[in-house]
Order: sequence, then C-alpha cells, then structure tokens
Amino acid sequence: MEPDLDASKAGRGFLRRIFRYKAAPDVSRDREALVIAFASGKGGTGKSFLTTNAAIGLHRLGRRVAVVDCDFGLANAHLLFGVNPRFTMQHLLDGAISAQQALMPTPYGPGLIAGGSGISSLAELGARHMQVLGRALGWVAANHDVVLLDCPAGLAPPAMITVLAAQHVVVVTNPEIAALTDAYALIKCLARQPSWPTVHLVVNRVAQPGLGRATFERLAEVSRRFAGCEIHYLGEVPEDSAVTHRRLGQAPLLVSHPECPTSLAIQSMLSTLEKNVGGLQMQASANQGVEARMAAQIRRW
Amino acid sequence: MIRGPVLPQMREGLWALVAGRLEAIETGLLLVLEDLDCSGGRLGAVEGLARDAAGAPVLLTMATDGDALLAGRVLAASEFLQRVGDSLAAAVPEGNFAPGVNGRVVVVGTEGASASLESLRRLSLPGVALCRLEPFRIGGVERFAVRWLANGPEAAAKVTAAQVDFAVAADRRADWQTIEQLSLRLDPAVRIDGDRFLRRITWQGRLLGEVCAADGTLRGSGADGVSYRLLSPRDVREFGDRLVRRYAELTGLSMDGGNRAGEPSARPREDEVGGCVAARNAKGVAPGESLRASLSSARLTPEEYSALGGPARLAGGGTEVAGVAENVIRAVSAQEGSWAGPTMRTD
Repeated sequence: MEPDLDASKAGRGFLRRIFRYKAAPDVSRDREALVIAFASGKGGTGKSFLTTNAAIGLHRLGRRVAVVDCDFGLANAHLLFGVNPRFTMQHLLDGAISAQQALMPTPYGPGLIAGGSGISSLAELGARHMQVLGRALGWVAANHDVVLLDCPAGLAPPAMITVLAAQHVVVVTNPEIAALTDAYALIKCLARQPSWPTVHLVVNRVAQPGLGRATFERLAEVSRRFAGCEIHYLGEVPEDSAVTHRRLGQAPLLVSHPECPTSLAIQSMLSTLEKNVGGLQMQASANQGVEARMAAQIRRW
Repeated sequence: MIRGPVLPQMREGLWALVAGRLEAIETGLLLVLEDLDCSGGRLGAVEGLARDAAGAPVLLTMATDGDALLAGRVLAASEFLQRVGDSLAAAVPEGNFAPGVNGRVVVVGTEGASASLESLRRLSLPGVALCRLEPFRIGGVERFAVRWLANGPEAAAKVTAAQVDFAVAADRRADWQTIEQLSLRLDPAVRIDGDRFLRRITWQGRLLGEVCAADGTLRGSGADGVSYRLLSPRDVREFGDRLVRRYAELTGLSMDGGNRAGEPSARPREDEVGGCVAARNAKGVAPGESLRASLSSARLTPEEYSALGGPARLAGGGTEVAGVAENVIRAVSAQEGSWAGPTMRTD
C-alpha cells in the first residue's frame, strides 16, 4: 500500500481520493513527455515561481504535467504548491523510493517530485545519484505530456546535467546586469556542449513594458556573436509587489489572480512556447529520451 | 603623438587578457584552474593550469617588466611538474589530463618583459616555452599576435609516430600509412606509439585501435578487442571507419546524418521559431571536452562582459560602459507605455 494511503495517516489519503490524481500506467517508451528545464545562471530570478505557475497553466490546457524540483537542497516548489511532501528528491536519490512513490499530487493539478532539503551542496551529488535521477525522469516522462524541471541555479555539473537532459530550456533572467551576465554564462556553457537544448528566454520582474524585449535583444546578440547560440524570446513578466509579498500557504498566482498582468504574461509565455516548440505534448523519443540524454552527460562528467 | 595599442603591464591585467584568449596562444589550450602555488608561497603563484590539445598539463605564468621572481617561479613550476608527474591527473580530475604525457610551462610576456624573457631563453630550460605578445589594432579592435621565442607549439607537438620502426612488410606499408594518416588527421590529440610489431592509436589517452604487424600481414583491432585482418584496401577502409566511429563515440559526436547526440528524432519544425535554430557552436569548442572542462573554460571574456553592458575588465585602457539597464531605460523612456497596475484583490 502506498504510504500516503495508510489509514493511520489522516489527510494524505484524503487528498489523493479527493483529487483522484493517478499517474497513468507505464506506456510505451517510444513516446515520452516534452521535457522543459527552467534554469538561470543566478538564483532569485523567479525560476520556481514561473515553473509552478507554468505547470498550472499547462494543466489547464489539458496536459498531464509533472514538476520535478531539481533544486537539490534548496527546494521550494512544494511551498509554492502548498503541499507538504512525505518523500522528496533526497529519498529518491538515496534509492529508498521509486519515482512513482516520489511523485505526489498537488491540489492544482500537476504532479510534483519535491526537492530535497538535506543535500547541503551539489558537491555531494555523484554520478550514481544522477543516474538514479535519470531513470526517475525517464519514468515520469513516459507517463506525462509535459515535464518541467525546476533546475538549480548556477553552473555546477549536476545542475548542467539536469538542464542538458531536457529538450528545451527556459532561461529565466531579470533586466539587470548581474542576472544578465549569469544568464549569458549559462547559455555560453550550454553552447560549449556537443549538443544542447533549444534555448528560450523569459525576462522576469520587468518594471517597464518593453524592457524585457530590449534585454532579450541584447542577450540574443551577444549569444549569437560570441557563443554561436540562437535564443528565442518567450516574453516578459512584469514586476508585481503582490507576487513578492505572497504569504506562505497562499494559492499560486494563476489560481488566486488569473487576470492580473503577471498571470496574463505567464499565459502569454506558454502560448509563445507552444508555438516555438510545435506543440506541448508527448513526442517520439526513438530511444533518445531524457534518460539517454542524461546518461550521455554523466559519461562526460 | 600617436599611441599604438598597449597591452596590460601588470600581471593581473595581462592574465585577465590572456585567460580569455588561450586559443590565440595555442590551439586547443583550455583553462582548468587558476592561481597555482607550486613554490610554497615564496615566489608567487603561476596564473593558470591548462590542458593542451594532447591532454598534457600546461602551467601558464605571466612575465612583466620588473618581476624579479619570474625566473625562480618558472623553475619552481618546471620542477613541480617533474615531481608530481602523472599524479597531477589524479589530483585534478577536472583537468581530464591524459596519462603518461609530460607537462610543460608556458611563459607569456609583453615587450616590456623582453629582458626577462631573453634571460629565460638563454637558460634553455627543458619543458619551458616562452612567447611574447605583439599587439596590433585592426578594425578598431586591439588584438595581439603571439611570437614564440623558445619551445613553441611546433617543438612541443607530440611525436605522434613512435621512434621505433614499425616492422611492416613492404607490400603492406601503404596500407599502414593510410591508417596512420587518417588517424593523425582526426585530431591533434591523437597519438600513435608502440613497439616494433604493434602500433597503438589513442586519443587523450583513450584507445581508438591497434594495428599489429604479424606474418607479413596487418591485423587491426578495435577498442572492443575484436581483431580484423587487413588484407585489402576495403579492409583498411573499414578499419579506418571503425577508428573514426570510436573517436566520434569518445567525443560525443553524432554519426547519424548530422543530428545532435541525444536528440529525439522527431523534432519540432525549426521554421516555427522564425528560422532561428539552436545552432552548433562553431567557436572553438574542443571535441571530446569533458563536461567539467567545458564549464570551467566558458568564462566570460572582457568583450562579452562589455557587450552585455558591464565594465570592461582590461587593465590599461578599458572604459566603463553604461549598464544595459540604463541604456534600455533611456530608450524605453522615450516611448509611451504603462502597465495597467495590478487590480487584484488582497486576500
């Protein structure tokens, strides 16, 4: 019996029964989810906020969505979803549980594998942990339409391996020089690999309309000229004090304020992303899925 | 007075310039780590530890005018490499150094350090290469050429064919030369060594294949240990193909019609993103570079930093550039536009 259906643990089984979340049984590995990594060179750009709200937006479009909080040790996606996970990424990487056990329902539709809080540094993660993560991602991708990876900030190998396992990466930046240079550093690192995901850019916390586009154009020019990498614009998300001052336990913004400018910007971002990637649904994997991509990077570590 | 381009005269400034342009110093040179002290703090640290195209460690130090500790530092660095030998590869795994290759020291100086460089050149230290940067300006941009004074890359290039004669039968020599030339063309880091009857072809210390001369014939074996008799030109071509595929496998290159490795075969249509595609980087990505090395070598150059809107880092003439946010705000403020302020309810 799944631990959270144990009658002695009141509440957990109740949630599952209420929302009837159930991952589909294993399907053929010939097709798997569209895997999108949300990444940034710098922390604090709003990556997790965008990941969780994007997941809810995709769920509302009828997609089976899972969020994997890969921010090892600094997890916060579960806080934004308002859930208290029994199992986390740490249990998964230690081999104590399966991906199926780690994946939990959220009240807003998407499934979530919560990040760990006991992993004090990315240096603790080795190839074995990343292989376990790769297998888990393979299972998640086989059972959903879209998988969003909330990646750790920075350029440490485990963070980069996670990003490189995706087919698309949404680089989240802010329109200020520190975030911009770190975003470019990430793009440059990606462009130095034998293969890298298609890079999309969203500019978060934009104080004035148009600033996001100008920021993108500067970054796109530098990326094209110096790193030989083309990036695609997804849009700008406005600065909103209601976002920064949200209380713990509040519903995600797309749920509580679906008509506010920030929510509308996120929905516009998803629409552009769908146009860019040619559809937000499962794709043929032909044995080159997320697990294989991750394994290739682990071999190069 | 017309003043020509000037290179930084302080070690820190010169290193900042050189570190971002190691490819200009020597093709395939990749920075691994900085600030290596191999003299117990007495003579100052060498600026960088790099890896060359053959996977050998290279200690880089800057020579500037008036640096009285330069010769001692260079000697200490050279002795350090001789003392530690192969254990450096184990101590610095992120360097991905090839086993069994000798390291060397590269001293980079400017015109102001000519006297110091000349002194070092006269010492004829083995394993120490000396070069001087010659600045020039082209298209409004300052660049530098590298003039090798001693033990430049040509001299340091590995002897990729072994010194011992390969006992190949006369009628099979052309086949062996075909394999040898194909292997050497693959990558500067390919090495061929062995004894009188065996040639081992490796890349950064990893086996691509072996060729053995026995009974008047040639036998090739791949990295998987499977042996093939090379009796005809077709056999030689097929063996060469196996070497190339092994090299592609080690370097992570895809051999499937140009698709990127690990890429799903059913990709979204590229023209749906306005014709812009995530293109392969043609700007000096070293094949087979490990993940760690690629990350450590992807530091921003002063030009990139400046282009993004940060201050230029070059000493001796770099100018502050207005931040991108300030430029953008100036442009945006000339436009009309305002956010419809948030009208959400508070909970």
